[in-house]
Amino acid sequence: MSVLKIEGITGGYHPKKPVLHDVNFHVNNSEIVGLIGLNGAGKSTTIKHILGLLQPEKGQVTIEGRTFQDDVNEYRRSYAYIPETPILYDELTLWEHLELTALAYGLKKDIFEQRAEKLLAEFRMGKMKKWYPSHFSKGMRQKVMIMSAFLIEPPVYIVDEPIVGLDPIGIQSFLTFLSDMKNRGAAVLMSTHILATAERYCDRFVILHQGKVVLEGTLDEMRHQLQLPQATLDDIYIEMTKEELV
Amino acid sequence: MNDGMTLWRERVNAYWNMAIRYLRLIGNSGFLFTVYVLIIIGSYYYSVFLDWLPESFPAVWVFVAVFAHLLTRSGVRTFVKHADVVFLLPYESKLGAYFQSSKWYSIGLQSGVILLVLVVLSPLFSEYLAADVGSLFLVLVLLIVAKGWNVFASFEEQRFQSESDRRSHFLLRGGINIAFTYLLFSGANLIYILAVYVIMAALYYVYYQKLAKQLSIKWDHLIEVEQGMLLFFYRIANAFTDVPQLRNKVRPRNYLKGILPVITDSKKSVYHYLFAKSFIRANDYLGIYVRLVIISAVILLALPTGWLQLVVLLLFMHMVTNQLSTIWYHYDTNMWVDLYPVRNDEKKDALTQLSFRLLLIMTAVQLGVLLASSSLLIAGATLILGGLYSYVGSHKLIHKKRKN
Repeated sequence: MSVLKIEGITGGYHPKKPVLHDVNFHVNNSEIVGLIGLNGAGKSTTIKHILGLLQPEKGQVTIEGRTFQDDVNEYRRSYAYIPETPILYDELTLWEHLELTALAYGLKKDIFEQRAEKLLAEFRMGKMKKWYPSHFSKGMRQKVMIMSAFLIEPPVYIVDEPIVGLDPIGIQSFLTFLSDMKNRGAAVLMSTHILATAERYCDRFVILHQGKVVLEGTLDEMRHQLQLPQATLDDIYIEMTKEELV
Repeated sequence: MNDGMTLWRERVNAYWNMAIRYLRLIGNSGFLFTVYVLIIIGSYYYSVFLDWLPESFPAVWVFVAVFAHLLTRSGVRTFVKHADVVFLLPYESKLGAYFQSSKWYSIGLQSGVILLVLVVLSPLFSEYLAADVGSLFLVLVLLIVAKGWNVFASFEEQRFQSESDRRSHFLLRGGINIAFTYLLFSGANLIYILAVYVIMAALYYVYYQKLAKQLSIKWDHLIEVEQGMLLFFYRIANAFTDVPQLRNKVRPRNYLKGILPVITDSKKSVYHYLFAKSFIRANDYLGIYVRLVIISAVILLALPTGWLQLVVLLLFMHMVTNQLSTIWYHYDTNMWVDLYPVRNDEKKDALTQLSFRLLLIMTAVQLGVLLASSSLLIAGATLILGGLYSYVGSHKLIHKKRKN
């Protein structure tokens, strides 16, 4: 069953200069879909359309059959977002970030505390509970984003380049949690440039190039379509973007 | 940029453009009025104080302490920036004129400070020292020459890597300056003062110039010093107006944890939570609020009992409302608040609740002040009008100016 549906989206920052052209794809429950493309291919724009930060010129995005316009708050409640660059509140401690997230999404106190303690232990941030972001490294800031997202346990995860800057144990914990959520039925859309990881963890891929979906499917389906039976994800990616260069 | 001077001029101009805009803001703010009043009151008590001082008052030592301090503290405004470590490093050897101008600039400004302090202290001078020392103008000239030496020497001192080396040289200059100012203000023969000049000059040519040749410029340290001086200016300006450069400063203020539940129901919504925390920790919203409450309390105490006190109170409550209204925009650049599944009117409720409670607290404080110092009638009127303004200000006025 597809939880997140992107249907014929054309849009961008300026009506006269759309970045995306008729983008179609979907993410099923219990599935991780990798959104890949070069810098400037339109990945972040796609994500902004899904989040409801941009309004499409044409087409629509639905989460569990609901569009952003149908019910703004129900729509927002149904996803968690991990941004590419961590965005933190300078005046809140790590624990307060989690507390605020729980407040925003209406989490019960006992559930919140139980989940939060588990996440803090898993990401080895328990000691930094009372720290302010100015003392955090890039990786720690990213971990705050990741923990806030996993805290809500929504049906959909939108993840933008999540593992850059994380230490190896952090990457491992993140991927374990993500797989765990997937096994419990979550739909995950993950934008990334780290193809080796994508190849191991994503069930399907959507390759975006110059604002269009140029190829999608499982690794096998894409190999079949390109008639490159031995190709790795790297090869496919380079193949798809090379064509346009000539 | 062929000689570094173009760069220097650009930076000085940029700095003064910024500074003048802040000075204008300070000039236009109501605070300046308070300063005038303080100066007038202060000058009256100053003359009373001078009359009261005994004949044997050791004025010489006051002058030695003040001017030795002013001479020894001779930081050089270099206008260097963080990125200079990367971009100007290869250019360092050609920056001689740049730093030379910085030194002359610092001498000019700091001589201005010396002049100002000398003017302020001139009544004391003419009463105790003028007979021995002679003309105040000569003193000024002699001090400025010494200032020049101090600035040039202090610049070379900044080439030391370690803090302890810098401190020992600072103390060395301090010793020389104490000797110099003592000779100057105790009315010693000009010959002695010239002798100190000779020592200074010799020290500079024999020792400090050698330092300049041996030690490279320590960019990180210079940038740190420059930032410190800039921050000092920003802090002063911040007392009068909002300085964006200080905005990201977060002060945990853990000791105020107890008052969080007093100013909002922080568990009620995202915005109640955020506003309460920002008010206490960010951007010095709290500092401005406390300052306004204290200043208004002082003015209420100073004013004669009457309706004017009420007018002043309402004016200050209006200023507090204006200051608090800026907290609305605090999260405008943060993406998260756009993603939370929360109702829009919660933000309005949160700002209203926070400002309502803060205005009520202010009313309560001023009520206490007026009960102690004014008539019961005025205090009663304060209770009613203050409460009324708190309600109207926080529910209506604070939302009025906003466009969205």
